[in-house]
Amino acid sequence: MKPQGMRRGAFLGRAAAFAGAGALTPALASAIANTEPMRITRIEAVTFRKDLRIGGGSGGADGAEFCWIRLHTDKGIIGTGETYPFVASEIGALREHAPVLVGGDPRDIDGVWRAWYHRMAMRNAGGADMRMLSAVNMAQLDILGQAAGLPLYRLLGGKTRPRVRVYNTTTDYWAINEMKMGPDTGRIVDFLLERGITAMKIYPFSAPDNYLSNEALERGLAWIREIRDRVGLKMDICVDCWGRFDLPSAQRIARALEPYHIMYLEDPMLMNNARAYAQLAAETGVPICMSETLATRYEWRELFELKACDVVMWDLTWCGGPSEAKKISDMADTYFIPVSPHTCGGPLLYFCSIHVSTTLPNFLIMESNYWKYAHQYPYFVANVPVPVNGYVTPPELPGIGAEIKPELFRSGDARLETVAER
Amino acid sequence: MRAQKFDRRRFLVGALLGAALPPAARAAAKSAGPLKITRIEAVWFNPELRIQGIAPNWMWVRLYTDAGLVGTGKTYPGYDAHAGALKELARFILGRDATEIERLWQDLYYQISYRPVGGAEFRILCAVNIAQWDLLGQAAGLPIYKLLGGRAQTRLRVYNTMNGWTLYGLRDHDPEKVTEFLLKRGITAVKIYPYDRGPVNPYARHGGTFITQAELKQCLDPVQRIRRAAGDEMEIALDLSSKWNLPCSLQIARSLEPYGILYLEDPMLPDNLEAYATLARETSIPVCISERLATRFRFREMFEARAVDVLMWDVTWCGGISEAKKISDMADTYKIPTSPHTGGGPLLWYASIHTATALTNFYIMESVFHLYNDVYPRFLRNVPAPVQGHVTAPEAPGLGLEIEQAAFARGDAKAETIAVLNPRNAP
Repeated sequence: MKPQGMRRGAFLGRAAAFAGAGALTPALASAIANTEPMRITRIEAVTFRKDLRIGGGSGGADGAEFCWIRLHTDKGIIGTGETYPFVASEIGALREHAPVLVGGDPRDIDGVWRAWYHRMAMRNAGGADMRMLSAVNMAQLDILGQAAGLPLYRLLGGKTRPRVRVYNTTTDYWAINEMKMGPDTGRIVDFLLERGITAMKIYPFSAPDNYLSNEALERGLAWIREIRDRVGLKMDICVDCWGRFDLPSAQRIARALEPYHIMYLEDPMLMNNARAYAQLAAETGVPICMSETLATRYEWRELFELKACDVVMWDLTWCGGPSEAKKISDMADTYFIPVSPHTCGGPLLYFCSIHVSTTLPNFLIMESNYWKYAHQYPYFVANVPVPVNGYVTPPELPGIGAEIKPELFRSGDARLETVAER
Repeated sequence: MRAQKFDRRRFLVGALLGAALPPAARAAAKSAGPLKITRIEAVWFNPELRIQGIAPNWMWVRLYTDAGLVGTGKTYPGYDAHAGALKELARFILGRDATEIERLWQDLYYQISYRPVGGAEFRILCAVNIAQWDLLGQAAGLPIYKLLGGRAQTRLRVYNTMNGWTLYGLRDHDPEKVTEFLLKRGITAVKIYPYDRGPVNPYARHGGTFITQAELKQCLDPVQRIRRAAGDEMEIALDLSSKWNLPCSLQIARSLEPYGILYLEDPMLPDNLEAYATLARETSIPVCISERLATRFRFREMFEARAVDVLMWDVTWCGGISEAKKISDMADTYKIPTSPHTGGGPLLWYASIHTATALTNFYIMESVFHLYNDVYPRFLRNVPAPVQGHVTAPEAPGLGLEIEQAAFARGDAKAETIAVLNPRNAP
């Protein structure tokens, strides 16, 4: 690495001597400056007031469930990353790993990832460590984008599509104006279609244990029938089960859903047995989607090889960061498996998911939530991409391109803590 | 559940009224629970401390109950991430009945398996599970191994790990002296690390992506010297620290084939068990993995892939005592034996001894001379030390810990309250 840098320096010196220092445009000069070594000088954790209440009719949780981290560099560029939801765990993990990060070059995206992954895999990779690695990876890419003057999606291969289709995740606790599925199903469907949003994810099946009774199964199907009766096939429907059920219940759910042209059935069981999923996928025509609970291409490989899933869902603040999400997606593409990102966390997850989705040749549809982009995200970020006719587009600013509101740091909503410094 | 509890209580009330229960049964009925968890404490150990050059890198979790019993569990390495995880998970633990070991495991596992399972949160689940077993044992007046099926092994054979820790200055590249030191104490097995430590250290040169023919031969040197010094009297295991790719792992395994190796441990990261299945097919060396794996779900994949010959878990990483026992019982259906990983703190040592004592498919257990001889006694008064190369489980109730309070007085250990049950918030 060193000798190359020297050669480049010598070349630049010659070029400057040849043409006169004035010949380098300011843009080129700054681009060249950013190819020189860069160091992480300080790492900060950003946490939010626990009693923060945003309002807006979420019907339940309406604070900040996420945390940010900031990587300061000797070039003055600051990269921001995000993860959630067990914030104390995540900041604890950051404290453990920060001493290794400080002093390193933040643009060594794969090098940092590999070293951290190996350290964590020594004792069962995952959890808060993996979430924090994801946040750091995001912050590193934010720095690289700012240094290059390019939006994140351009660093990941550029556009494969002009815009990104979204569905609305519809839950009682991130509701649209307090409306609940069941009593308000029709009004929710109308609300979405009026805004051009033609897909929704619902949670129709619940049970106290791993078994879903026939009665509860019928109650859930009634929601789906109501949507179909009201608007026919104009609304695509995804069904999520939060990993609650055993294999026989999952088989019964899939069979029962077959007549309804479901876009996908997500996480009917926990994700810890790929063969059980392979069996389910082989038996039903309903596409099986899994799962934001998985992380790293190493975990996904087995699912792909066993033909255990039809649609990939990752959460890029959990699965290893934007760079790992891209790698998983590219691997899925070799199996003709499309990708449907999970985005129901903080605003930077949403921004980065739009960036990554924009670059994916095998993109299907992205999660979004009305309460989040209409109320929660704008509380923190000024330029939130809001769906227009059911589609979003990435910001064109360098890096993640989120204009984080400075007043958060003045009002006491956000708390800054230096975790490591050099 | 509720109806059952009610029935039991009614039965007990009835029995007590008739005074038909003998005192022992009455005491047992009282301790059968519920043992409500009222306070959670984390114990920090000074990482700056050095005992024979070794720093305490573990943390303890203590569960206080309304019955006055306190259970202790542990995990490692480090404190901050674990204390953070414990703070987040405390709300799922406080107010719960500590004797509901299986239910709490499932509930915590479900919570953390959503984002992705593993890491500090999963290790905290292990510590909580161990503390629950400690409590149940104390409540029942029985050592943990008796709650796990009782004694399947009268004593546990140990090997000594030379993981960069010296034996009074001796390292694994002093093989003759190390062999003599161990054999003199009746320890007839050793684990060495010639591929990423010591004078050859090909990992340092190639980062696990390549190994030269010369390095392959040079790394055999300690193995050959142990064989020359002690013949077959000393068993030799080799640990590769998950640092190699598949072709290097294969070459290393093949080069070791003539030497009657106990097992080759962790040549690669265990994140592709098909790669391990290839390795196992292509070499006659027994392969052992891995303390890096957790839960019976991951080990299932390993067993089904026919990926290994020997199972290794770390009871403070793999899901606690409950999960370690389940994994081993499952391994037994594949005729795979268990070799526990223990080099990470005194409670790991105690918990491993209890669990291993109850295993019908026990193989051999890790031990580290300076840990049980010098480090652990600073924190516990009754540390089991190998006698003629074997250890036995303590007979006191629970884990059987006799905690050295002086460690707290010296400041080597400090307790921090993580969460206290507010009776109004009890579930």
